[in-house]
Amino acid sequence: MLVITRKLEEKITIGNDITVSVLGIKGNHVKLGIEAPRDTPIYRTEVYKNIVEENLRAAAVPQDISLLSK
Amino acid sequence: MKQAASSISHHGETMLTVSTTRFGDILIEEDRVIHFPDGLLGFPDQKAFIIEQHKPGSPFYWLQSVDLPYLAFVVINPLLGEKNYLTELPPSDQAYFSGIENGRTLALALVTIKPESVPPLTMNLAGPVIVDLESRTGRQVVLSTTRYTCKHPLVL
Repeated sequence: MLVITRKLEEKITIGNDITVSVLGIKGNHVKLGIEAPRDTPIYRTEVYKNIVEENLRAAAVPQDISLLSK
Repeated sequence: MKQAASSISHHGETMLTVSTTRFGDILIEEDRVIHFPDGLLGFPDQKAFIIEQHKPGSPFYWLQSVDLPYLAFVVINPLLGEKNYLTELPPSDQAYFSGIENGRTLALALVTIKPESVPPLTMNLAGPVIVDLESRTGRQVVLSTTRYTCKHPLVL
């Protein structure tokens, strides 16, 4: 993992078209501003992981699906 | 790799045979396939699905992979299980659903069935699937709000 230290209002650029700015720091909260092409998905990592895991559970449909007929 | 789907032309309409584990072979019009350019989260390679109703009159549908016979999700219109879903969302999330009123957009929530859990049926309202019916393309979006979870109790 690349580790970079930035100050408030400083930025990093990823590739040619993604910029991440440090907009604010308050206690243990960091506010980031992300500029990226519209079709670049940006996720909060824990939310993204939750959805991936839930998709895997949803894909494991049990043999008995009588619950759907109630 | 075994080809799960094959197409033939029938009365000018291209028909597709989709092999499925749960339903056997399904013959459908090729233009009913919905394309997911990014797949689903965790399933990035599954780029084509069909939607079939569970049973006539049922609120449940199946989102069946065209290429993986065993991959099929139970889905439901999230508004049937949570009437306030759209109005509770912030404007940035509501924008995903903008075509619903004119019938251009279809919203689906993936349903998880866990018979031993309480409640046994939950739906994923944090990552709904949005289908643009005109272009026949779909994607799973991650909402920015934390108002809804991916395990929202589904009580009909």
